[in-house]
Amino acid sequence: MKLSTKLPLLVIPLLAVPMLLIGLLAYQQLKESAQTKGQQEIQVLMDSLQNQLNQLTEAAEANVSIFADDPLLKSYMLNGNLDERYTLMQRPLQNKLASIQHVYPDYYEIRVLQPNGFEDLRLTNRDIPNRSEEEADNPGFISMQQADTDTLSRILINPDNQEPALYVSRRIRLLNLGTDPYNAEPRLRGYLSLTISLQPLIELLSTTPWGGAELLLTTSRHSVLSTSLDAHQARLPLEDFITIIKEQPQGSTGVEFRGQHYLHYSRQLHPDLQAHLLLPKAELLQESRNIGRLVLMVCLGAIILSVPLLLLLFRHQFLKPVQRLNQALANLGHSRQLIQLPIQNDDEIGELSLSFNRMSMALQKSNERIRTLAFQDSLTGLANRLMFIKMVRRAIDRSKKNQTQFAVLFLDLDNFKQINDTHGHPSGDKLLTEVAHIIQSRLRADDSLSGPFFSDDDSDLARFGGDEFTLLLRDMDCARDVASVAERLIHALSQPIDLNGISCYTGCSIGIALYPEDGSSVEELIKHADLAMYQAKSTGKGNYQFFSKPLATQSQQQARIIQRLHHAVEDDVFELFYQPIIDNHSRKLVSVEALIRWKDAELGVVSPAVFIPLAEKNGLIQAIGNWVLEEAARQLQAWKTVYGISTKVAVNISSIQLQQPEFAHQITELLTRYRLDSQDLYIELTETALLQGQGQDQELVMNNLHELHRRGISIALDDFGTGYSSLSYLQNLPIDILKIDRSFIINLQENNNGAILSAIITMAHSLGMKVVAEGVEDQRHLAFLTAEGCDLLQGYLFGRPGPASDITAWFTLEASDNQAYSPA
Amino acid sequence: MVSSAARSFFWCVFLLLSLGISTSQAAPRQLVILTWPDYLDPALVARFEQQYDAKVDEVFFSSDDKRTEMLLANGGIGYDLILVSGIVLDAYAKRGWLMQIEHERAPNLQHLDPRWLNAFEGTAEYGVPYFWGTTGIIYRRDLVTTPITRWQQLFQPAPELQGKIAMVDTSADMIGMALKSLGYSANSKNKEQLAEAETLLLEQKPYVGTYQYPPLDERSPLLTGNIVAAMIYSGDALKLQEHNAQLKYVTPEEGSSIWADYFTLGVQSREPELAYAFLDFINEPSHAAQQAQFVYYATPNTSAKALLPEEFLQHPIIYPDPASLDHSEFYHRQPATAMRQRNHISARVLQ
Repeated sequence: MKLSTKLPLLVIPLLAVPMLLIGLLAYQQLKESAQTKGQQEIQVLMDSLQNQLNQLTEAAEANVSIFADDPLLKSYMLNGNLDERYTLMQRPLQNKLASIQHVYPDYYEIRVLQPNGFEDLRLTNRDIPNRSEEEADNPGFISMQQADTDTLSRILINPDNQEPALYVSRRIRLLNLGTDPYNAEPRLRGYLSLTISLQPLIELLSTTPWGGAELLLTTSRHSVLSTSLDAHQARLPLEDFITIIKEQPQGSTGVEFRGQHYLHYSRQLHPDLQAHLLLPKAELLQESRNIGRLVLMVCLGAIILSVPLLLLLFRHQFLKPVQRLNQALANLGHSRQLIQLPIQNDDEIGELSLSFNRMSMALQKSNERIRTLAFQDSLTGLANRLMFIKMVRRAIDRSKKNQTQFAVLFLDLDNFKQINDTHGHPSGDKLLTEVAHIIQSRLRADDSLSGPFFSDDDSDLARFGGDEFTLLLRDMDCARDVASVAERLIHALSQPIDLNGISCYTGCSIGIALYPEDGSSVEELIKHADLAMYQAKSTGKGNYQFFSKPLATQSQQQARIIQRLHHAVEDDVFELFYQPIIDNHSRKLVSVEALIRWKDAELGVVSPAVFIPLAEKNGLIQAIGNWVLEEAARQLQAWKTVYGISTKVAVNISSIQLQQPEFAHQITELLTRYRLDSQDLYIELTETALLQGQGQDQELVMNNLHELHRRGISIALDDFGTGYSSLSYLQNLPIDILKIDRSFIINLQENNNGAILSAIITMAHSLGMKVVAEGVEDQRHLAFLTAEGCDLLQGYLFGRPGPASDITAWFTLEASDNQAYSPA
Repeated sequence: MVSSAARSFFWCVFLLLSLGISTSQAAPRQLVILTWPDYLDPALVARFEQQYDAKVDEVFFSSDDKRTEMLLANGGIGYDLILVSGIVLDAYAKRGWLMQIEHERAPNLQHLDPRWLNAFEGTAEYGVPYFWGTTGIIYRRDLVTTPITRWQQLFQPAPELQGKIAMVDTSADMIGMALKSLGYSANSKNKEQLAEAETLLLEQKPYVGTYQYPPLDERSPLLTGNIVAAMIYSGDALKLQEHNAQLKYVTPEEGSSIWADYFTLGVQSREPELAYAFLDFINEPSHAAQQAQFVYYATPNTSAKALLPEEFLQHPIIYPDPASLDHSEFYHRQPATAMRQRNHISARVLQ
């Protein structure tokens, strides 16, 4: 699971659960406290009702006693003379009671009643009509009459205004001192009664803190005195309310009525008065519900607010940087750009980013280095082969898009190997560096009139390998321009190059392939440029050649061979085969001809007839020739050591070898090195090799031949009869042995070959030369040659060219049998 | 009027204090008279004091009911002479607050018109007639557009009078004149008629500026114009006219009440001799005439009439034309039930 999923799954419950728990607890607590508070409020309300009533009652009871003690009232009550009472006393008494009423306006009725219930005096500060003056049958009066105490308070509906009122009355018993006996009981004279408004109490009813609460004042018999609400506003019809309260005991109880839950609370405020509160429980809990909802909302709000905030914070502070790091790490593998992360914080992630940046930086540097190493030639600093291929590929893409041409030039130094061999590798390296420098400078040079010139952007020079340089010329629309570049380079490299004081002529050949005519792929273009270069070389060094298809096809195989030949020279994959040469007189093996064999891994066996000329043309013959000499000498020395034989080795020498001034010396030195005698090795060279070359070369060849002859080294002229065959010319040459071309022997029967052979042998003998017949394949040949007095014989009849082991076997056999070869 | 009540109280206290001082010095005898304010000519009183080496202390009441209250408060003790209206005299006497008058002890009583001596129950035994008069309306001619001629105009006041009316709180006058304006007898005992009168009075109540009897000096609201019409006793109207000629007194067309005041002797009088001397003194014809001219009331002293100027005797308000009194009547004693009803009316109206 991803962190971005895990975090919310972790954070949401972590935040939500405690918050909801807190909310729940708070709700529970608040609910309880709201309930308690509700109960307390009910108590307070009831207490205030009770207090109000008590106050009213107590004050009224106290007052009624005081008022009853008034002398005027007393004398009024004592006065049985009604005339006097009403004429004299009633008005003053009225005034007195009026002033009392003025002070106590809630005593809205002050009445003086006679013992028989007649309402003697009634004073009211309200506009209430007096329903009756005869109160004898009034239950209020009766209760007053029958009360145990003089002072009595009752709560009744005032029949005059149908309002509940507190009646506080005082029974007035007086002794008439004037008329009654001294110790007589005070007689009942009447009653003083206060009718007190319960308005202050009723006003309290409407002060309930709950809108839905209904408060009812009833008598103890449940007749309603007052309600807190209008009948039409009430939720519950008054009758239902009464039904409920009738069934309920005092105090606080829960009631269910018509599916609605109520809290009923009643209290006996006065023997005549009960207060009932009916409160829908929903109302009581409303506050706690509201608070609960608020708490819940606050909790949810906090969760809704804090969870995304926290997640955002996590995301921003943690996930994002981690993702960025992750992304950056993923990119690190692909991108070549330097990836650097912004450091946002100095926390652990910041440190991680910093470490990443350092690592990225180090990686970038080492990558750059690797790239440099991979794509650069360490010697010259030029692009290497790999880089060049990339360049060509890019050029192809670009040209495809822009419909332009470009050229690939393949440049090969003509004399590098020679210089390298002669002056050593350090010089070779120096030469390559110089050449690179020269090419680059020539490309940019502006001192020539032939143009065009290239900036580094238009051309890419690479060292393709060894002494091969490749050059990419972009936007070459005209072959002539390319040619002029090639000419310029050839000219520049034909100048002597100074290598630590030695002037070297290296020269170069250039092959050119154009895109798109000469190839559509990188490989094709480079191959064709390469081929063109070989063609240039084959037509003479210090040349350039555009790629041409027919020529290419023809020389493709050759080029391949040459290419492989280079490898072969470098890898020493040549082998020497030896073909026996038999003395015609003794029929013994007197010498072997060393014949080079090349079995290439790709080309298979390649005939020397094919590759030697190519080697000669390509400057490889020197190396091959040297190797052959070396190997032949080594082998001979080995045989000599083992078998003590006097067999000679014939080694084929190319004219190019003979053109080396030190050749004779080289041979002598070789013989000395292998402790061989000058008689042990002789050289074979073809007529064409002898006649090739002019002037200086020819002279060098002659000098070498004479020097060899002087040093005792025999010289055989190979393939005699195929060339000029001018014997007179041979007369001036130090030739010791004449090898008659095998075609004479094989075609002995044809024409007059026999006669020619005979003449050649005779003439050679006359010139002091020995004659070797090649291609001796059957007895007829042998018979003829023996008859003609041919000295030495070579051919399948005696042995095909074979590996050294064949000759070794021969020696072994010869040593044991001491037998001469006798053809079977 | 509170100030007048307060003033009388202070007078009372002052007099009692001076009484205390004088007794301690065993000096002049003291005569305490309970009376209306401005009802005794101070000059005469001074002469009496001089003549008898006595001190006259006047204690004032503002209405009949107040006087009764005052007497009830202490059983009539402390007053040598009590001025009583004829209608309650009998009740006072029955209550035992009054002493029978021995006419021989004050020779000048012989000048009194026997008609007044017998005008109310008990007056022959207990009363010495002092003055008589009518109850009418006083109003400011300059402040009303319609001249007032009827009680009805007072009980159902026109807008110009509303709030500027003064009534008396003596229930006999208040209810009696209401009955009169309704066309009934002022002495009606009829429950319904009384109920009608109650209704009338209650309807009038919002327009009544005050139920206090107006003072007769220059402070009177009738002079300031706060009150433009008032129920008043005839002589008082004349006394007020001294200050403002624009004040006019009328005996309303519906009729009026004829009342008479009597001096009575307090049963607890400590100076009955002096009291008799005073009664004798004020009934000396010349004194009686002087007194009448002081208060502008008709005197029952027949000998004094001879001494009065013709102008006074002919004054239509002081001595109204008998024809104008056709509809007027004396108050009579009311039975207990009617009295009770009247009391309740008073209580409700004056509440």
